[in-house]
Amino acid sequence: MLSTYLTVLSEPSDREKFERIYHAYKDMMFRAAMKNVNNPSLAEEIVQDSFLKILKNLSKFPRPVCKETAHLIVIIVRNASYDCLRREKPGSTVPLDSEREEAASVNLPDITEALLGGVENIVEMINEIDKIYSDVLMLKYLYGYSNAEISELLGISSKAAEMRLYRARLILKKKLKENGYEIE
Amino acid sequence: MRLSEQVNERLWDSLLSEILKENRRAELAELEAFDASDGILHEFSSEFEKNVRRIRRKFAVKSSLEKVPAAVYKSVATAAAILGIAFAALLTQPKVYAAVGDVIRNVFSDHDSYSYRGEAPKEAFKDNIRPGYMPDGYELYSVIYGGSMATLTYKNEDEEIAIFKYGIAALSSVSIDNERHECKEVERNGKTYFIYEAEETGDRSSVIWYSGEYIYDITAQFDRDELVKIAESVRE
Repeated sequence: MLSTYLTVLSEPSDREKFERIYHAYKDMMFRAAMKNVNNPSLAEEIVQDSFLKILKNLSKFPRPVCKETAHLIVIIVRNASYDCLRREKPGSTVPLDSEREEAASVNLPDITEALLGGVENIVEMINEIDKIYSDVLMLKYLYGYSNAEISELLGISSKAAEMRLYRARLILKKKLKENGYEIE
Repeated sequence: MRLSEQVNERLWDSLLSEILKENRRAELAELEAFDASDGILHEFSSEFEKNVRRIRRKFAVKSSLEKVPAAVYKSVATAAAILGIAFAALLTQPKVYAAVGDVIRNVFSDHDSYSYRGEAPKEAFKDNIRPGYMPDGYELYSVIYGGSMATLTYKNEDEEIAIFKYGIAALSSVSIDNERHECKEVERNGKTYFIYEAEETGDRSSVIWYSGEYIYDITAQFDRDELVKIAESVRE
């Protein structure tokens, strides 16, 4: 009975928002999960996990149906797929987050020099970064989320989010160096 | 002129943001194209729909608790605490605890859980364990080996799925919804099969059994007899 009363008190706009997200993206989420695991029952598990994460982070979706929401959901599903693959196949090649390493700051080279090599090259380098790392770059630089918010969205620890961000910048820096950019 | 570290950092942030915007556009376009080329909508299993309903319900209660004004919350919390003393044991403890050999079955209000108190086998994993019988049309679709469990998915032409899992009992515990499933125990050839038959049409039923130091589980939209027939056909 208590839960019945409490349910009545819950915010209807949140429920409506969730319903809209659910119906608009359920199929897209399944397809995105299938791309990663190619197994319908696992893909359904991933979609469920992703909906749980969406519910926990509903305030981060100001508009339920728009391209930003769609993209955030794709990132959530992709990361839920990595978690699932880790659970199902401990020996798989999905990168693991080590919380023992220290995430130092990574200074990127002088941008004016980097731009002399052409923006296309930098675009290409970013495209080559593993999705598990480029996703945190997206969340940080495109959506402006803090490490704590990234950890909530992806269901990882704040330290793991910080570590992924550090590695993403480190990989970019290495790629720039490999491509002849001057790095101190 | 050399840029200051802060300016350089801000410019990199802007550049990364613009590049990532482009990446987002490309990724969404790719997904749309994939949608268009496919055209087939996935029919989600009833188990999926049920789990999402459950997630919604849990969230509704949780979000309500967060929104209740402090005074109301305090009085509700007090009342709940008083009632909680009486009901805590029911909520946190199993209603029934049963141990058959090394197998422990706990019956909670909304689920049953199984665990194993025996030793883990010396051999890490058994390979090539398969059911010798599957209903017509079901073919092996995928095999995934986890740390202590293997999951074999069978699928028929109508995309109906049957899942067979087995693993090391000491390292695996299993929970099964008992709210919409009727549990029956069936004894055959010295083995106890725990069958959870779905009460609602479209829901999946399950059978669980232990043999040696291993646990087995089959989940599908089959009736009790069919589940036992598959279970008995498993070659260990």
